[in-house]
Amino acid sequence: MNGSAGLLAPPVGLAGSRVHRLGAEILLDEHVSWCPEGVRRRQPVNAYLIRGEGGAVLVDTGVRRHEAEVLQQLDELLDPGEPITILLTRTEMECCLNVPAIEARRPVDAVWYTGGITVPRSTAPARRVSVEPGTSLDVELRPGVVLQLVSPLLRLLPTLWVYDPPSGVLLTSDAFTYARGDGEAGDPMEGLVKFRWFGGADTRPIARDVLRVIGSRRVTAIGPGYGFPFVGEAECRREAARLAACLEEVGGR
Amino acid sequence: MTNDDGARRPAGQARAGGRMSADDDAARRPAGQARAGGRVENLDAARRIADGVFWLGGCLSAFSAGEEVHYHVSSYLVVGSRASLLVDTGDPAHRALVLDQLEAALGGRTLDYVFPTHPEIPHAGNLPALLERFPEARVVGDVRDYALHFPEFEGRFDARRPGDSIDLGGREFRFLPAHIRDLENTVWGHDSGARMLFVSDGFSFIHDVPLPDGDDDEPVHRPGQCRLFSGEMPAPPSVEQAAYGTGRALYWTKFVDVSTAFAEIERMLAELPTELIGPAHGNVIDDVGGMLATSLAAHRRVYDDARKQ
Repeated sequence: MNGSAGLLAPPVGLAGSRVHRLGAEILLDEHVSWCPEGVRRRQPVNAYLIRGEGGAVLVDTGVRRHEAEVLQQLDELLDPGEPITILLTRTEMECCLNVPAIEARRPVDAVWYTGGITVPRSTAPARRVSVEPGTSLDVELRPGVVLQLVSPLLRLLPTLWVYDPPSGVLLTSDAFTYARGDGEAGDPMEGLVKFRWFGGADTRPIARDVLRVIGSRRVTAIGPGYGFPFVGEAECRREAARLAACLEEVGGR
Repeated sequence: MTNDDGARRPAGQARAGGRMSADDDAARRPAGQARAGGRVENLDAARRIADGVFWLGGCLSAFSAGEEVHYHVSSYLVVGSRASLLVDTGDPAHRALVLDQLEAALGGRTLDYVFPTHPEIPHAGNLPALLERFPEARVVGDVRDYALHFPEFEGRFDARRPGDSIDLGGREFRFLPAHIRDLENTVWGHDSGARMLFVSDGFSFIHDVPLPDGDDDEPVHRPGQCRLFSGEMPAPPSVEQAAYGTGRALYWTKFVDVSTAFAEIERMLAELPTELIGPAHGNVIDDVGGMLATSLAAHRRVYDDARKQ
């Protein structure tokens, strides 16, 4: 069955002291709905902490199996009692179920989410943000921490990609999830398992949207909700092109 | 962008400090019979909608264009002579309500199976509370991912695939492919006893179209229309109303012609006689043929409108 690596791994810096990757690894196998057929390997499930001068924003919260790891990683990165803002890229369980445990450990001044359902939380106010698909919105989530909330066409539920202009990091929720972390590039098709509806869709606008989102920004790293990140502007552009090509290939007409 | 603080809350709140009682009035009434005045008198209680089938849950309230609207977050209890099964867990905002409704509807029996149609909060969010309340209950369906979300209950998840069935005693509950869905690991179900199809996020309808600046993603209805059959509503939903809910809640339908999916649904209905359809976020459908036609037309409109943009 799925389990963490058993180690309380330290957070991983993704962009200096600005963006950190939190969470731990699961066994990606037939017990995981987004696992491609026949695959069995370890895969990180990620949350990200963005630290600005005005405070910290936690993007997603990790799976509940990794609750202890996420709490410890936050303790390492933040002062005791330091408040945070939580932003959920979508309201699937792997994004939001650790909100109550985090609230129990430190102040959470708001939980931003994309709507559609209630959010599991204790006392933190929920703030709903709606961004029209194919557009973006600049939102100051903490004083001086302005993030671009990008609403991609590549989605199932209302979904946000989160772009941090100072670092150039783009957090992509359930897209770009196929990096293996072993030096191999990974197959973008493997990241499309949960988007089976593409097979009956005209996916060309979705592919163009992926290229536009990456191409119109200085993207220095892509941080997915699961899987390893892509780092470097050239690599990010290359992966956008590979994913777009796969989207076009898999789409129906 | 909207500030949602306080805008969404359980509608039809439970009585403070009170326990729920079974809907005795409904229990006496022949299943499926419309209520006078088109209003459910006691929203705190489970509504018995057929022999051995209860409609649980509540509505969440939001404001759209300055007006209060509701959307259902429903669960359904199916009780056989041998075992009981709950379809979807309801939303955590309704945790106490669902647990009390369930206990009253079970009438002293235990809950044997919980079938969350897919791992989203309104469908599986009350799983921990249910498994704690009913320590023998097993979770059935597509149970991938649940060990990640609820590791403390890891030994209680039993995979059931489309085509599998459970004998509840005098009725069979069959697991079915979800032809209209958001998450891929969605499963539908059918109860042979009440001839009822449970369709999760499928077949959700609104009954009053919010103005264009409304920001709700879920199918909605007005207060007073909670937990009514579609045939008990003031009027059946129009294609326009169905299209509004479809396009907002199931984004992918803008990109996909659902004719194939509806052909599959019609084959399913031909094989499994169905008199009621239970969506998680809409009124229970008691005019299956009419609503199928309306829903298909709505999906086609959503798709065609997206092509014009």
